[in-house]
Amino acid sequence: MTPLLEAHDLRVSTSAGRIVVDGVDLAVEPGECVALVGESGSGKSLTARALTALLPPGLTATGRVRFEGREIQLDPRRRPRALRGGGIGLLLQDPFTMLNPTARIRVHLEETRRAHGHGRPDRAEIAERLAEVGITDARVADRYPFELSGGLRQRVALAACLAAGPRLLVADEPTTALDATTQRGVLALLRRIQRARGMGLLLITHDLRVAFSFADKLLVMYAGSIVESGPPAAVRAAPAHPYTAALFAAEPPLDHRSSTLAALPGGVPSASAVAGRCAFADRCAWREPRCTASRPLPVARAAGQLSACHRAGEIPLGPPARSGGESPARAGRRESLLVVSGLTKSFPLPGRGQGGVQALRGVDLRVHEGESLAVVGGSGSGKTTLARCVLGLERPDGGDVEIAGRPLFPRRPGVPVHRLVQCVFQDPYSSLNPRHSIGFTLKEALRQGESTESVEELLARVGLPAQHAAKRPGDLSGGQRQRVAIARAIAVRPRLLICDEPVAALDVSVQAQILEVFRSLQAGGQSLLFISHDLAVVRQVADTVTVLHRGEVVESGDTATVLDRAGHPYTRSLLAAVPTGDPRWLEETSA
Amino acid sequence: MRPALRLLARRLPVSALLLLAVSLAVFGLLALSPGSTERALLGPRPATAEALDAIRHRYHLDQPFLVQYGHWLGGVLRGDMGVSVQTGEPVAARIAERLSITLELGLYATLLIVLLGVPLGLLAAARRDGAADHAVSAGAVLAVSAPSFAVGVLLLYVFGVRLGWFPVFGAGEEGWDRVRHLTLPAVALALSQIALVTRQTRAAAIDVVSRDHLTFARARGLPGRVIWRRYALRNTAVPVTTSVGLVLAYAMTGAVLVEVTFSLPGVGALVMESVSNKDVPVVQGVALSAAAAVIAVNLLVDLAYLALDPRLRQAAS
Repeated sequence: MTPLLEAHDLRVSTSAGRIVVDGVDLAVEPGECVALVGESGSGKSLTARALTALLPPGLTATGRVRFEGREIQLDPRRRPRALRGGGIGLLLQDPFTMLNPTARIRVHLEETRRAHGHGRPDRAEIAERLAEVGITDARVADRYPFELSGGLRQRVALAACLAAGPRLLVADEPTTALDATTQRGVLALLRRIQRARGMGLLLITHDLRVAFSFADKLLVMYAGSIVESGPPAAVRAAPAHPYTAALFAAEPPLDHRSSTLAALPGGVPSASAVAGRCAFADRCAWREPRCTASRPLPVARAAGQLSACHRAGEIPLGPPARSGGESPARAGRRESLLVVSGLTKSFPLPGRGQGGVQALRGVDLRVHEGESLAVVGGSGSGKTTLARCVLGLERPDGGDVEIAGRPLFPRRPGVPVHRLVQCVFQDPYSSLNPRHSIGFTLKEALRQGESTESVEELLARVGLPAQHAAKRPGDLSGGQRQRVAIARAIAVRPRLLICDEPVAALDVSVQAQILEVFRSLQAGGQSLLFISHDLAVVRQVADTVTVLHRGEVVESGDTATVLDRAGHPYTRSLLAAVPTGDPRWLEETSA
Repeated sequence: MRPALRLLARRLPVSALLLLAVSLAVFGLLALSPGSTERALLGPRPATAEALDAIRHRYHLDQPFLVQYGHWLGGVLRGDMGVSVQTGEPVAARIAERLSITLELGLYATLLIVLLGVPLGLLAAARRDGAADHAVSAGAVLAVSAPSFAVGVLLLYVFGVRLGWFPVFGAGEEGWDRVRHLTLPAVALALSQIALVTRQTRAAAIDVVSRDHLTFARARGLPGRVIWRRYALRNTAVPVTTSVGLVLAYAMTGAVLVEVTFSLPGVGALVMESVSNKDVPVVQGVALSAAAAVIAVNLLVDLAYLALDPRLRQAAS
């Protein structure tokens, strides 16, 4: 059988000659689902863009790509329009920016149908096409994108892709911007449609477990080249490349608290820096001299499983071993540090008149001295509003917030709130002032906390070398920036550290490193309020869990109890939304 | 249409207040004019005791400033902006007789600005860093730094005197002849503004071109004309409308210099005459009308936003 898509020696480079994708070979059979997995900087998204001839300006692709047996052009200007969308479709990551903000949903489907030589679809056809992507409310057709939720917008975008009738769909991180529960629904839908249409699917993802559940074939990409490929079940049972094994090990498990998390030091190098040698060598525990002398070629390991490793077969790799047990026992309950009782907060919403959105409806919670509490919930559950109230950034409508025995509202003279509570935000790219050096930022924070600690000591506590003090945020990677953000928060010596999705924007291997930083803070007695939607992450850091749903606490208790014996249906749906890596994970959903 | 009505309900009182504030400043012009107010209003006529008395009585000059203002404002609201010092005609009539030329000139210039500026900006964005972009951008820098009166003189010399393609003087007859007469002035008025709108459009379009929704449109194989019209043009419309609104306001002040250069009997020329003859009532009348026009244009721009962007429609309702 001729493959639907066959790429040979695909390369992408900048106009300055820097290589970003370094000789990728891949094939997608008709009706097959291939997952391309990699961290940021691996070149997976640029591979998708190169295949769809949509590289951003300044980047050019070379290589041989055959689609349905015929060679196709990689030059955007020479790619025939009928092939775009009709041959190969592309679904992008961010549903919030993908649709035309000034056009109704209907228009997105109409223009795509007409662009491929069909008549303008009537109302019934539009309704049918929306129903295919699980939108049963036909009125959505007359809405504008901004009136819909992220999950609905991603479904609409999928419908717009399908309207062109693609034989191959390239989906570039289609669920990364979505809520965990929405992600599962959209992935299941994508898989169902792909099977029903017999369409080829190339899924680009950073999540190894999503790829395990989703794909018929798996490609693992690192620093511009493919390091391992094979059937998901085989790779999952026995990763053949040290990078795959490390990536797998860095995924936090949902069912237990792992005693060691950080498996991968450092970050992803650029493809140019590792040309002509094993790309992973610098971070590999099994490195030998030959690893840096030449680029290893893919060699067959087991049935259909290829690994680009000089030492494939010599080194014992396997799925991550279960390590550690439950959270380390802490000395008996100490006094309460944070007490939130009956907290309510609503926001006015334009067009809704009085009332608006009720973000918090009487929330009670308690953090003891030295304890870590995780607040979990999907988007719109009120968890960020809760954090902002505790930080004193938002004034609640009712209820009390008490920190170290002092009420936060109304404001009283004395020790200011920011000396008691500090925060680490989700996005390390926007939470640091780009014009200040790291040292300046940290010194400022140390002054605030009247701390005698030095910048060097502070950096050491978050695992950064002292030289970083002279650098600016722009010189650092995302993980390093988040370490700086943590250092800045603890410099003030807060009684309570609030972390609002602190690892959600980071790659898996970096996430594991940051979680280790939090654990070392915990060991030093720091109290944490940890806001997250990811229960597997929560399992690794929290002592107790409070589940928030539509502004109400639906369940709370010890982490192990809540996650292993969830009582509330909402908690169970959050648990079910965590990718397991098992193919049944997507089958069981009804969405 | 509800968001538009809500916007008007909110903005009209504000506009009225703004106009009131402007009118107070405009009325203050009279008090600030050099020499006695009676003299200023009398103009070149002989200053007999009777004439001065009549002026004092007519303009309530024996009463406090605010009462004078009240009487004047009452007159303005009834359409009476006083009489011209030079000719003794009502100010409103003098403005009205000159208005059509200026409006035609403004409309002509605006058409040039929109019909040339927007497509040139889109072209430059589409061929970013290509030859067309460099040419358009260089031309824009040149045009934006050329003052309209200098351009006017140059155009007059080249196309009027040397080549003889266009008339060099006056407004001509109604119809086609008027268009020919207004072409050089409109170009002189529009040139620097075309450059501004081109640059605005280019920047806005480059921003839109790099957005996901445009990439997604290309990924679905939409034809170029749909992408440029429905995606690029439509989504650059809001910033472009903003700059066109500013340009319209400029076209009115720019008209003063251009009308004088091309000897056009428009409102701009009237302002020049009135200022040099110290005809304060006419200057007041023109200033007030211009302020009203600028406020109206701004209101129209805000209404246009609502038509162009559904998100703003929702925010307004």
